[in-house]
Amino acid sequence: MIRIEKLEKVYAAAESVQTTALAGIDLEIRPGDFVSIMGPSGSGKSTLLNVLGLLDPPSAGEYFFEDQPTSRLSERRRTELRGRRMGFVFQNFNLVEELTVFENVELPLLYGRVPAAERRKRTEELLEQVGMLHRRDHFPSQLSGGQQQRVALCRAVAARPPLILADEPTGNLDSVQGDEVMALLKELNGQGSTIVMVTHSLDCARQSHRILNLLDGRLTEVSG
Amino acid sequence: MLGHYLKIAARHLVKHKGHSLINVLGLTLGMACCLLILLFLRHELSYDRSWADMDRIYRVTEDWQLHGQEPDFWSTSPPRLAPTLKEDMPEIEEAVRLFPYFEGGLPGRVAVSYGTDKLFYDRFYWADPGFFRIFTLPAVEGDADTALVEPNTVVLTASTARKYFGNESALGKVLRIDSGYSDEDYRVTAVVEDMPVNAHFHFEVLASTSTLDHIKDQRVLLSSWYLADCYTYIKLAKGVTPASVEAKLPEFLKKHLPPVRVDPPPKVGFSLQPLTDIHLHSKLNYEMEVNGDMSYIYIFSAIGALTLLIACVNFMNLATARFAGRAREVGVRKVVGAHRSQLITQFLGESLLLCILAVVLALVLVRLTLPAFNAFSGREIALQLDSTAWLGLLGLTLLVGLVAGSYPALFLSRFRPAQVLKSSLVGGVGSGAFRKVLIVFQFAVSVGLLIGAGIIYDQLRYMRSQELGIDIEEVVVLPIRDVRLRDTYVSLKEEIGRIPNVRGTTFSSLTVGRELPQMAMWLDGGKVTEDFGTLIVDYDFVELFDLPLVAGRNIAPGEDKDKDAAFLVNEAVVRHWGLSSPDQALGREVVWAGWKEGKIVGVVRDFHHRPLQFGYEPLIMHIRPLAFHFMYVRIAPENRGETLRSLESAWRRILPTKPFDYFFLDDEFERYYRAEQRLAQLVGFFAVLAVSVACLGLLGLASFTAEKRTREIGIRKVLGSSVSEVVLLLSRELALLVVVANLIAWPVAYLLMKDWLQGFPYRTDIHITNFVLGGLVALVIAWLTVSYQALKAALVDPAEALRYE
Repeated sequence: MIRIEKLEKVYAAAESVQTTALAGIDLEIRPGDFVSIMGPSGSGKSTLLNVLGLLDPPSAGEYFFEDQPTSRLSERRRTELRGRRMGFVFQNFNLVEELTVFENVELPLLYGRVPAAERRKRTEELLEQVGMLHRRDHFPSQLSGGQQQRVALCRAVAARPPLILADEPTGNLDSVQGDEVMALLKELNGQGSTIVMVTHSLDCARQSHRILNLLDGRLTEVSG
Repeated sequence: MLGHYLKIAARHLVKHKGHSLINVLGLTLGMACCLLILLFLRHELSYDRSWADMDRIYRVTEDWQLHGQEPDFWSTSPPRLAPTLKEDMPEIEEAVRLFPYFEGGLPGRVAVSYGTDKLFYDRFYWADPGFFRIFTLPAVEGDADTALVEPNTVVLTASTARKYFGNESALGKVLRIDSGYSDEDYRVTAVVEDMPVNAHFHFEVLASTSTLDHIKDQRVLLSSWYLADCYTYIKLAKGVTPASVEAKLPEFLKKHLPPVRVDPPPKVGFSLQPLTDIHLHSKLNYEMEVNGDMSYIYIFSAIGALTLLIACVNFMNLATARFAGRAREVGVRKVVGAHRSQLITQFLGESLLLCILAVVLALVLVRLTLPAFNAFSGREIALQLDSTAWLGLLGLTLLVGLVAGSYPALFLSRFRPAQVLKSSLVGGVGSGAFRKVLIVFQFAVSVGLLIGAGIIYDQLRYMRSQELGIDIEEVVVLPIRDVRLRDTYVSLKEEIGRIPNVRGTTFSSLTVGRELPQMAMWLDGGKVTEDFGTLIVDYDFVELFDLPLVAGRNIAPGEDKDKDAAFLVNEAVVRHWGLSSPDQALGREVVWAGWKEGKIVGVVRDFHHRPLQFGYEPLIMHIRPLAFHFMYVRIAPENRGETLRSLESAWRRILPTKPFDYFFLDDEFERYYRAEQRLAQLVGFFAVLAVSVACLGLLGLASFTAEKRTREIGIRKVLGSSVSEVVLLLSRELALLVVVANLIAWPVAYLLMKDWLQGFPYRTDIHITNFVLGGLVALVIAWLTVSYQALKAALVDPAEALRYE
């Protein structure tokens, strides 16, 4: 599914000050894997996730997604891959405030030009699965954190992507809500989704198959 | 997808009501202004375009040049021209004349009666039978093509016919028409639709030219080649160019123009003026009505475009400033698969939606303000939108929506998800420089307009304050509209002179204030011929108007020889002749208009017989009672009403069948300042509009700036900053932008206004106060706008501010 070879990401700040976020990383993730990436703040976890999610191009090295090198992909192609082959879950949920629960989940299907009837069916099924169908017409500001994250999860999987990237999915939730979200992620993994999760929580990380540690831009496998 | 875009656009609009309102309001004001101007421009550019074959219709104008002098250009032409052109040139399909009833160089008023109903008309003409083959007005009754063939026949407009006959047929009815030339019956032979509003002239009653054949003085004039007493219109045959006709005119004139007794003879020429050019481009002598001005088309076009641009700039500014909330949305949409083009479409769509809303509101605003605009501009513009206008409006909406929405759409769609999804961006980043440029631009325009308005008002005040050299206060002017009544002037003068509050009376050929006819003067036994403005006066003119004599004497009454042989000139004539003193002009022999011989007996100090838009012009005065068209009565300022009533009674005793019509001479002068006054009001209005729109934008931006710096404000307050220090901090940057705007606006305004003032022979200085005041007004208004938001932000509890995310 994912193969990274000697990946580097360097940020140039003002006046030739450079920050190396990722320093020559090698990584392979197989389909169906559930991988946690841990590390202290500023270690480059989110940077790695952004690269994996084609949100940020690497400075050096190559990233193969589904055996396809991504360094020469056009922005258009990247967007297509993101929309159809990847799903994203964020710490701060990142639901669109002006859209209802239903419309948020439906969004990737809208951009994927899925017909209206199909869109409706899939969205309703997903919301039913997470117990949020009865709140379909509510706006994100009317939901709790846990509820918002459940909706975000639905959105992430609406297009049935093989890869889900989760950046601190339980970071803004209490333990009960966090457990609910982790349970959903495990269920998704059980259904065949490959999950790459960035987390500070060891409890959450232990629920994955592999734990990787990122320190000073370098990746080491802790368990798995 | 479209439904989704519309839904989210509407929800954004409602969620951010305040800022949406500011944005829509700014765009509405800009569009309403632009629409009003477009309606005005459409109206002005539509003059004389409703006639069939309008591109083949021309007015024949005359230019007349005496040896060594500048040529004079006339919208009128001699009566013999039209029939001779039609006879001699097969290229000319039709040629017609329109004879106004001239009184003192202006169209006079004619009385038209039916039974006991008597009305007076300024817009009365005698016209040739072919008139309606050129000006193709549909007939409501009768046959327009033959209606003016017979003598003593008349054609009425529909509204004129209604005044006399209501819904009854007017055909065959007999009207009594008392013009200055004759008082006789005319039969109504046709009724036509009213002249369109957008025509360079209008009539209410048209009588047949053939009637003039039996009026003694007029019969002579009909055969004249040298009295430019009528308006000549021709229609060229299909395929004929005006150049080909003009090329034949010199030969034509050689063949037909009789010789004159002047050596060298004057140069006489005729030109074909396209009908559709008259309203905006023609500024000849004796135009039929007040024409428009092409320069106003350019000015208004520029103002309309500028106003719209400011509104669009405002929109761009406010839209990009709101990016923070949208940045995250953009990031999310890109993450879930939105292409940049889809985002651009979405944001452009939102701009278009706002624009459509603004256009609808603008149309309502235009409908409400159009009557006031018409009153101001002196036009009758209607909000009539045909299919072309609707298409144009749609085009304008699309253009504004795309222009105003382009920058925000391109800017917002550029965001990289990695950049915006994790950070809590609030307020504006990255586009700050561009937004500042936009604010500076808006305020530069506003300040420029404020300065311009101030200088125009200065010029107006200056013109009004200048000494005219002639005392026009408390002078009542009574037009004498009948050539046959000149003989009563002595008894009129005596009768009115007896009224207690009357301090003096005099007569002249033309009211002071209006353009003087240029008449040929032979000097030195005919060796020199020149044109001077002529004012025919009576003995009391110099005294009544308190004109100082700088040499010689006034024309003295009681000496027959003097009455026929005395002329007065002004100092401008002395300068024109290059004489070292006015005394040198005394005794010079003059032949006026080729027949009246005499000598110059006096020189008066220069006075402004026209308002100060015009300089001193060479002027000659003499006595000729037959040419008295206006009576002047100086009255005491007290008991004005009673004096006017006494005047009226005296008038009715001497002239019982003539209307008592009067105006005050200072009001007449004031009329000439109206154009400048209108311009000042207009510029002032747009200055206020520009400042308002700019402040709307500033209000929106100030709130975003305050929001962006909430955390910073909290920190500063915790560290000991006072409320006033915070307000100063927040308002300083924006105030600085207004200062920069002034630095740009001042030199531009100075250069433009200096150029405008060059058109006035008497002009005010450009005072620094206008610049300082304009800048201060903009600064104060901007500061007040910003400080409200700044104060609100400064008063927030620091704990709240620091918790803000």
